[in-house]
Amino acid sequence: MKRRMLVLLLIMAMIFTAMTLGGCSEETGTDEIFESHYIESKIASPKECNNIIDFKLTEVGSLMAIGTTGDDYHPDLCLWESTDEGGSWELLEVLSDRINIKKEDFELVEFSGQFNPDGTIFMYYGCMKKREQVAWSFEGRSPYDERGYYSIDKDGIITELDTNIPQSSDPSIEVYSFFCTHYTDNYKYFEDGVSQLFYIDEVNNKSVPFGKPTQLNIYAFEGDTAYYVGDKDCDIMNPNEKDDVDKLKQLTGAYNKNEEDDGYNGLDVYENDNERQYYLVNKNGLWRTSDEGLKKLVDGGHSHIGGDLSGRKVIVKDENTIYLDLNGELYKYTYSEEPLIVETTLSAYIPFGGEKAEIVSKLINEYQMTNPKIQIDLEVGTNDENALAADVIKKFNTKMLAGEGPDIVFFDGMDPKKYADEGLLADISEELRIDEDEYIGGESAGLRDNGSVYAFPSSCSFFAISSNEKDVKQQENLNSFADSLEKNDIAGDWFPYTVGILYREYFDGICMEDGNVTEEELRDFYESIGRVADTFEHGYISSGVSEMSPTSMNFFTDLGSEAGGRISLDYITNFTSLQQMYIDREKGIYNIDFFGIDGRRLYVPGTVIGVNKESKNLQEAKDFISYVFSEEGQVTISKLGMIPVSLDAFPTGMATVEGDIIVSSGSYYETRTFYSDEVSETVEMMRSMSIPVGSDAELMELVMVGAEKYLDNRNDLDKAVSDTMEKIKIYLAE
Amino acid sequence: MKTSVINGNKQIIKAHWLFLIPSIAGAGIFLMIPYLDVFRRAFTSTSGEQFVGLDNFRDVLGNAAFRLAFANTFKFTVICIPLLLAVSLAIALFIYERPSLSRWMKPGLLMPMAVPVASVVLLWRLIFDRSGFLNGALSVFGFGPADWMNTEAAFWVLVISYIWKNLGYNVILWIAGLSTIPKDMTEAARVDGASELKIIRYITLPNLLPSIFVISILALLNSFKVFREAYLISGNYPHDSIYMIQHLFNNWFRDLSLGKMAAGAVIVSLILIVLIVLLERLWNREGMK
Repeated sequence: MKRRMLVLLLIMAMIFTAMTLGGCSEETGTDEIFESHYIESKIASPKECNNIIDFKLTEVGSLMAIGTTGDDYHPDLCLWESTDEGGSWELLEVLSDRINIKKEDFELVEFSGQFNPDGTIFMYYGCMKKREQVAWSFEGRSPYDERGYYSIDKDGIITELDTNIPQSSDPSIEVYSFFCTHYTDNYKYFEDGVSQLFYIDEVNNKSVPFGKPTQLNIYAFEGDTAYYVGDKDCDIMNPNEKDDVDKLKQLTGAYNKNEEDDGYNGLDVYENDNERQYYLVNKNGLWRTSDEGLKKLVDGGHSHIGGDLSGRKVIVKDENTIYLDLNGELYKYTYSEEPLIVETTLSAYIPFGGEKAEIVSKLINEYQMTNPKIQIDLEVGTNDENALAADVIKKFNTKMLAGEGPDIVFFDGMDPKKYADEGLLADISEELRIDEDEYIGGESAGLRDNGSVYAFPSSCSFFAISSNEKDVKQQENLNSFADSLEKNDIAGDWFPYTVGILYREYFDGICMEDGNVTEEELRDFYESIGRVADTFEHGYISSGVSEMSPTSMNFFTDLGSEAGGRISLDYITNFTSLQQMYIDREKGIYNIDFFGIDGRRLYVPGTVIGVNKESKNLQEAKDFISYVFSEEGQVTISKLGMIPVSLDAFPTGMATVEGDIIVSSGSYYETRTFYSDEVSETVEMMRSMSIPVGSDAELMELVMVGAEKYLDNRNDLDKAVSDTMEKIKIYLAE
Repeated sequence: MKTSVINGNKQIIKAHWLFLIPSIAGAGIFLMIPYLDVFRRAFTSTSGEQFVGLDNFRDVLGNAAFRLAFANTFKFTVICIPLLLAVSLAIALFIYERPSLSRWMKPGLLMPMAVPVASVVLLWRLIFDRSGFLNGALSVFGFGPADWMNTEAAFWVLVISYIWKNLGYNVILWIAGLSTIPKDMTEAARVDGASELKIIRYITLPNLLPSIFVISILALLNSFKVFREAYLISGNYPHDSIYMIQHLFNNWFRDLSLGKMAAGAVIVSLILIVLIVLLERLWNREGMK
């Protein structure tokens, strides 16, 4: 009996120990290391081509491309062929010469074209006359004053296509516009103005909706059967063959499981002697579905596939050679017996999801493209917009203190100083070449201590004022801005973000410069935002502004002709936004300046990076830091839509903004390259930026909750100030 | 014969230890070892590598936020525990003698314990919000709306919540204590003409002394759990009257101030240990009498 009891107790003790140790053991996360047998290589485009629109592989194995040449306002549409995989391209024809239009009669002419699977070429053009007014509402109209759709058959005979499409078989859907996707004698698929794809049922003369109205594009034909892939669920659809749809859905079930997709996907059908294979491409990689099931051929994170793209097209030559058109850049993927194996996996962490996390993810992708043996897994603390910042930070702290912290940390919304003070971060001064390179903010930039640097911003943003010269000069603080706004009484929309901008610029930047907040400063801030808010007749503001969108935001008001036009406070986060301001100035509309005080200007350090001192791959993690702050990395940051911090990278970074015509909702606007004097001016202004605007999310939340109560009339000014001040005092005392 | 008795006793003792091992191991692994680590960290930097002597204790004792949090927690405990003990004892005495009443009152009193904290917080918001039930009711009498959780009233809201939540549990504990008092004693006193108040003063309370000790300790420990409600309704920085020691620890952890947090925890635990030992001695002394 006693022995039995003893055995029972021992078993219980063993179970307890096993559970305890099991609970304590680390979840090692044995991610399968992906081995790619396909080697990526780039195929050169025709030299004179501005923009490749489509390409195809001919039956004889040559490549053909359709693209534009000439100036952006009046381009030509051309057809090229290459028999040596991009070594040289022969211009076969200027396709746009086939259409009889007087380009000079229009301000803007646009061409597009595509290769149809039946061997025909589809071509269209749209022309716009000069617009006096920008129309922001589309309302079913075509943005073009004149347009036409054509098909060029195999014999080179051009036919104007009938665009009088029949109405939908579904009476609730009005087909009112026409954007052709595939429209020839054989293929009659088109898209209306709201991205609903249709095909024409010629027997009943009806337009039939094809799939769901989101992100639709036909990517592959097999005979007369069209497939698309690219809606949110990444289904492949063939409306005529239900069994096929089910089978493909089954096959591709794992294709997008738990993987976020950007919808710009490609598909090709390939048949060998034994089976039919489908090749799919999305941001996560290149995939093949066959009778054997689904297989990933190339990882998006280690190739150009995972880049920031708005289009991916796949063409399969055979099982060993696959071509991809990624935003007009051609890539070839060739099978190799030797697999490409990831040798080191690094972990990176960013606390909050959103646009910034996406940009960081793309930056990592760019690094992996040139370092295919390194893999960096980015962990996002939370994607929940309502999550409390403190909870996310506490979770991260637990990991760090348990010795399970990431190798690389992006400190957005977290204060790196605390981690550096506690000796948790590695010195990255060598990787930054801090003594040699020039960074925005000068000595104020980054977290430094005795010559060591523990964290450093990789991007920045700043505030800019645009208005008439007099008003621009007057802007020194929030009060003067409120003064300018009060000169008019025109109501506008109050953006919830706006208070966030004002907070950053005024409170973080000016009040907190000495690391302290006084009651007078807080009162002054609340009073000023109250005045600004009244100008906009605000109704509601949200306190959920701890994370600002990295996109450019501005608010402006019309000061009336007497006051000299508009005044705008912009939060500039990328070179395109900055350039729009320079273009406005060039046109003589506004004067601009960067916001500052007493001759010093404010900047917002962004995407602050640090390396975990306890990293098991310390050198590899530091190598990534070296990349981020190298000219190449900083220019990549510009391309990804942020402003770099290395002044050395500014000229190249600013040059990434290319001249383009953006057609948008009934009108168009231009982007152009920066002028050299604008680059110099920008660099000079950047040099004067010496007040870093902090990113203390907790303090911001305290101040903003008080501001919200005051602006929503739940508290008067005195109560709002005293309540908030009490909390701030405790916060600062902690 | 004697030898076999001794051997038998030794084996019983061994078996006792075997039964005790799981709980000792559990307490050791989950309580004592972490506590020892906290104690060690109180003398080191956050990374736990650098010995900093008494610096953390100096920082904590000189910290205005710690002093405020400690004072609030102390005030809360000093007000709440006697109040809870008195009210729950009164109810226990009232219903103990009325079995028909206690049959339905007991479940009712225990109900607050079964309500999840999230629901309690929701209820609080409905009641104490600026546009909540309480302000709605007061407006009938001409009072203007008040932001209860952002005034001194927040403290009393927290006190009422604590008592409401723990009242039933304490009543049950008191009833359990009352049931150990022999009925002969009270009946004899009644026969001798003692009033109800005298019976309570001279018979019930002295016999409840062992229960008082346990109930006080439990009430003291439960008083620390009220942080959950305060945190969920007001976040990291509530009105300064309900800024408790747990708020501070929570914020220190967020700020990675582990050294200070460990020092603070050691100070608070020492005070609690001293308090419990004093209570125990008091109880033992009263028991000796």
